[in-house]
Amino acid sequence: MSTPHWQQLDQIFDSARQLPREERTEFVTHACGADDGLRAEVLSLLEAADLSGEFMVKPALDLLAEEIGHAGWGLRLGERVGVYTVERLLGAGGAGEVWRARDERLGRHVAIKMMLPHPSPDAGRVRRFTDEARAAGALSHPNILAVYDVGEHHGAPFIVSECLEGESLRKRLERGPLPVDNAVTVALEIARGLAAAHARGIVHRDLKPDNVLLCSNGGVKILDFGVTKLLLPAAEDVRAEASQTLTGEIVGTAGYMAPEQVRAEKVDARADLFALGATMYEMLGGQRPFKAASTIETLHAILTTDPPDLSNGNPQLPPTLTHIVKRLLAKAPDARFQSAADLAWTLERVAAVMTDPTSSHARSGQPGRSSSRPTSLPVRWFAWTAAATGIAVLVGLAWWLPSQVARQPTAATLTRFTWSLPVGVGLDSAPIVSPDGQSIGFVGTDASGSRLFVRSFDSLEPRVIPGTEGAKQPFWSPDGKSVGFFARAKLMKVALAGGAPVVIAAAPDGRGGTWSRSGVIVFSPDLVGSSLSKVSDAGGRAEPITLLDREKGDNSHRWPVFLPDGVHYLYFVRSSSDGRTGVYLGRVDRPASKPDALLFHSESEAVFATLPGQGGALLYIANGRIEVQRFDPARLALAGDPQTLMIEAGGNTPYHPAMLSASNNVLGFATFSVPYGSRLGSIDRTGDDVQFGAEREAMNWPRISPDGRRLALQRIDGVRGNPDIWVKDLERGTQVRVTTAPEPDMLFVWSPDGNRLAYVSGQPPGRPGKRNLSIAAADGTGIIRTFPCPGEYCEPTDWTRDGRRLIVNLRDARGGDVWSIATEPGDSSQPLLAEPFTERDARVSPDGQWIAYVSEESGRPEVSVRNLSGPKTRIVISGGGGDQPVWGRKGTELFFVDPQGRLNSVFVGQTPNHTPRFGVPVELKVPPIGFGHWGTQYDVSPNGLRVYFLDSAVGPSQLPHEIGVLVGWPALLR
Amino acid sequence: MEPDDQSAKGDLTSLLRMWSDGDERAFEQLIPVVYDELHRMAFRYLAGERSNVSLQPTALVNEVCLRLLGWDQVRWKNRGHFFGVSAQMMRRVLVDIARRRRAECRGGIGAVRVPLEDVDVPASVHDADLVAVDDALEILAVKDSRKARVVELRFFGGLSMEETAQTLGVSLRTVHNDWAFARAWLYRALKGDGTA
Repeated sequence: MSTPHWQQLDQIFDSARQLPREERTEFVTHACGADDGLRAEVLSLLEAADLSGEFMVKPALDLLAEEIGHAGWGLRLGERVGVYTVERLLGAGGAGEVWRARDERLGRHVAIKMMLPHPSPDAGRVRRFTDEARAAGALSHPNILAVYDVGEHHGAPFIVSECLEGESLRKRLERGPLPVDNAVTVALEIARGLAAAHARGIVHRDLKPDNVLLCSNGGVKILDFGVTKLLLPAAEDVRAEASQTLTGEIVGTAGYMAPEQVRAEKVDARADLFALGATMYEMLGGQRPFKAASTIETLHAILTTDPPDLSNGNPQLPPTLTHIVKRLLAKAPDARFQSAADLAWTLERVAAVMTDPTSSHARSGQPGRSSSRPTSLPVRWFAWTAAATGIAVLVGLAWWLPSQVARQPTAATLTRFTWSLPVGVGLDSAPIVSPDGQSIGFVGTDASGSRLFVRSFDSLEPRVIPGTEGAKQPFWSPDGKSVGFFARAKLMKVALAGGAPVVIAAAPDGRGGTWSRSGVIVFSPDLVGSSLSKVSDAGGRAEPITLLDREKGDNSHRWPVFLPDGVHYLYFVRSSSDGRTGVYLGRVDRPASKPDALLFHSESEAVFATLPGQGGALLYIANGRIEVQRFDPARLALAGDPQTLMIEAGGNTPYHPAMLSASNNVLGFATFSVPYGSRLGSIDRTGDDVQFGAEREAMNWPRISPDGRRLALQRIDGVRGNPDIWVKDLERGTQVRVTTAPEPDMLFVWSPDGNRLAYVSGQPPGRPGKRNLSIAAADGTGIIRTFPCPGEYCEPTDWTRDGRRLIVNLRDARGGDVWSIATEPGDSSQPLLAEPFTERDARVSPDGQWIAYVSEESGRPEVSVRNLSGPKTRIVISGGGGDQPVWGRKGTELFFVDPQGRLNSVFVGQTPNHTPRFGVPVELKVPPIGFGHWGTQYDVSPNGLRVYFLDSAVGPSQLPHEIGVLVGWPALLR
Repeated sequence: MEPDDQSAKGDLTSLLRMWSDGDERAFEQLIPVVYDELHRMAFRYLAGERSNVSLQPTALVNEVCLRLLGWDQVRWKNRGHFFGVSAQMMRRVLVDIARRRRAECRGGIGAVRVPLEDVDVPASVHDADLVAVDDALEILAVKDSRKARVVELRFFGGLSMEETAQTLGVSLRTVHNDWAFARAWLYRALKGDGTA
C-alpha cells in the first residue's frame, strides 16, 4: 500500500520528531538528500505536529459532547432557527423562552417558543411533544393560537406560532375582575376553543389565565395546546417540588389544576373544564378560587375545599353564572359539565339573555325544574333551563339520558348533550341513530383498527359488535335488530343479539347502503364508476338499479337512503360537472332505463327524518352546518325553504358520508368530517429527521422501487374521485402518472427490474365485483398487458425474483389464498398457500427462497415465513398479531406492523445451509403505521435506513372523539 | 460461539465473524441492527445524560451489544475484535450526528467548524470538525491504511495506545509513530493547505 516515497516520509518524520526542535531541519535536509519535495513535506508535517496542540487528543465523543455543551440550547439575537431569524426576546420562564422572529420564507413575523431541554431528555419525550404540537397545529380555530411549525434546535424542541399583539389574561386580571358581560364573552370563546380541541381528542392540561391571550383586536386565543405534556411536571413532581420549596412559586400553575390532576389520575377533557371554571371564578370575582401561601396548601385546597361563593363578593352577579362556575369546579369530573361544547352552548344562552334588553339577569338565572332537586335524582346530573329561551341543556354523566326524556319529548323540550367515545377511540363513520331513536351506532377506530360499536341511551358504555373488524359505513336494519356495513370488500350484516356477521354481496370499496322494510338493501359497491345495486338482505344476486350518466360527467352514485314507503330512495351523485352533483330520487321496484332526475343541488347527501304529523324533513350539510329542508314523502316533493340550524357538522368526503343522522326526534352528529388524505412522510429509522411532502391528498400504498430512487403511490383525483397510480422520482421530485383508466387502479407491485408495475385494474364490463390485473410501464408509457384474475378478484402482492410470476391474494369461498400467476400468456396459475383459513399479502425474500405472509388461522393476522421449494418449513414470526410484512432489501430484516400499529423489525440471519433464522421483533421509533389497513401502507428504503409512510396512518388522533346528540331537534324548525 | 447456535444472536455473531474476516458486506448487514440503538444512546449521551466523567465510546458500544445481543465484551472472540467493531461503529454514528448538526447550524452560531485561519493559535477542541476528519481519514486510508485504523481506534473508538496496539497486533512504538504522523497529517489536511 505505502509507496517508497511515503515510507521514506514516515521514517524521516518519525526520526526527526524525536530530535530536539533545533536539530530537526538539519537532520531532515540531510536525510532527504536531493529530494526537495520530500524535504518540504517532512518539514510541513513537523510544523503541523508542533501546531496541532490539543487537536484530536480527546476522543471524538467527548469533543462532540463539549461542542454541544458550548453551543448551548438557547437562542441569541440574529440566530437562525430553520427558516426563522430571531429578533427579540418576548419573554422567558422556567420552561423556556419566547422570541419574536421573522419567517424569511414568507416574510412574516412569528413567535418561537423554545423549550429548555429536560434534564434527562429522551427521544420518546421529544417525539411525543412534537407529535402533540403537530396535532395541535392541525387545529385551526379562531380561539386557538395557530401553530405553524414545530422542530428541534440542538435537541431543544421549539414551536412556531402566529405572533399577535395583546396581553395575557393574567396581566389583565392584575387590574381586577372583568365586567360580567366581558367575562362571559371571554369564557365563551375559551369554551369554543376547548370544544374544537376536545372534539379532536386534544386536552390542554394547563389552561390558566397565563395561557389565554386577549388580542388587541378583541379576539381571545388559547395558547400552548399540546405543549403541556412535555412542560408540565407530572403531579408527583409538583408535589415533590412543593414539599421541598414551600415558596409558593408555582401556585400560578397549581391553582388551576383539577383534583384528578393533583392526584395524578387519568386526565380527560373535563380537567380543562375545571381549569376554565377556576379562570372564570377569577375573572368574575377577581380572586383565585384556590389560593394559599404555598403550593402544597393550594393543592390541598383543590382536593378538599370549595371556594367561597362568588356571589358573596358580588351580589349583582347573575346566579346562573355562579351556578355554572360551581359546576365547573366540582371535585368529581362526573359532576361537572361534561363537554366544552355543552358549556359553550349554555354560555351562548347566557350571553344572549344578557344582551336581550327584555330579560333581566335575575330572570335568566332562575333555576329550572330539574336543578331544584338535583340530588334526588338517581344519577347525579344537572339540568338548567334558561327561562327566556326554553332550552334545556342536559349536563351530567356523558352517556346517561333519562329515558322519559328520550321517549316522550315534547316540541318545547330541546336537549343537547355530548357523548365522548371511549379513550383512544376515534369516530370513523357518521353516527347512525337507530330507527327507534334509542341507540346510536358508529364505527370506532383505535390503533388496532376499526370496529362497529352500538350504544343505547340507557347503558353506560358502548358495546363492541364482535366480528366487525374493518367495518365502515354502517346502516340500520328497519327493525333496529341488525346493522349492515362494509368490510374487506364485502357488504355484510350482523345481528346485534349475537352471531357472526354474514356476507351479503361483493362490494370492493363500498360507499353506503340502506335497508328497506321489505328486506331489500340498496348499496353502492365501489368508490368510483359504480351505480347503485340492490340485493336481498338474505343474499343472492345483486343487480344494478341506477344508470350512471358518464357522458355528463357523473362518476359515482352513493349514500342511498330509503324513504318510509320502502320503494323510493334518495341518493347522492358525484359528478365532475358542478351542476349535476346533488341529491337524486330513485325507485327500487323497477330497473332503471334512464338516469334519475335531480331533486336538489347539494354538496352533501341528505338523510330523511319523519316529522310526526308534519311529513318529513331532509337533513344535509351546507357550509359546515346542518341544514333542514321540509319534504313531503307522500308527494315526493320539497316544501318550503331550507333552514340552517346553527349546529356545526362535518360534510361528506370521498370516503365518508356527511356526519349526521336522525331518527324520531333524535339527531346525532359529529362536529367535523373524518379527515381524509395524507402526506407522504419519510423518517430515519432512529426516529429523527422526519420529512413530509407538502400536499395533503388522498393517497395509498407507498412502494419503493428496487433501485430506491422512485416511489409508486395511488393518488385519488380530488375532482373525479378516480384513483390512479403515480410514480414519484424521489431525487428530482418529478412525478409521472402510470395509469389513466376511469376505473380505480390499485395495489401495485414493482417488477424486480424496476421497469414495470403490476396492479389491480378495472372491472370487465358488466361484471361488478370482478377485477382484472394489468402490467404497465413504470415510466408512464402505457399498459403492457391486461389479463383476468384466476378467481373473481385478486390483488398482486409481489413478483417472483425472476420476474416471471406474480404473487397474488385471491379471494374465494375460504376467505383468501395466495396464488402465483404467470405474467406471460399461456402459463398456468397455481395456488401457493391454500389452507382453509385466509392467507394473504405474501412477499418473496430477496434471495427468492422464502415468502413472508399473513395468516389468519388463529383468528387474527399473524406474520409467518415459508420456503418456496424443498420440504415444507414454516416459521411464525409475530406472536401477538402482525400484518403488512415487508422484507428488508438486504435480506437481513423482516418488517411488520403489530396490532398497536407500530412498525417492528426482525433480524434475519443466514445459517451456512441457507436456512434463515429470525430474531425477536424490535419496535422501531417511527410513527405508528396503523393495523388493519387494506394493503401495505409503508415501505423501507433499500439500505434499510429510511421508512416511508403516510401520515394519515398516524392513528385515530385526528378523528372526531365526540358525538353530539340533540333530542327534540324538530323544536328548532320554524 | 458454537457454530450451530440456534439464535439470531448467533447469526449476528457469524456476521461479525465474516466481517472480521474481511467481508465488508457482512458489516453492511450489521449496520441497521446495531446502528439504531447505538445512535440513540450516543445522542442521549451527547444531549445531556452525561456526568462529568467522560464516557468511553467502547462502553457505549458494549452497552448496545449487551442490550441487543445479550453479550458483553468478554464474550467476544477477543478484545481486539470488539474494539475494532466499536471504533468503526462509533465513527459512523458520531460523524452522522456531527453532519446533521452542521446541516442544522449552517450559518448559525454554534456551527461545529471554526476555520483555522490563525495558525499561531494552538488548535482547540473546536477545530475538530468530525466530518472533515472523517473525509480526510478516507484519503489517509488510501495512502496508509494502518495509520487510518490507528486514528479510527484512538479518536473514534477512544482506545488507549496499548489497546490500539493490541487490536492491530503491532508494537506500541508503531502505534505511537503512526498516531503522531497521522495527527500531523490530518491537522495539515484540515487546515486547508495540505498536499493530500
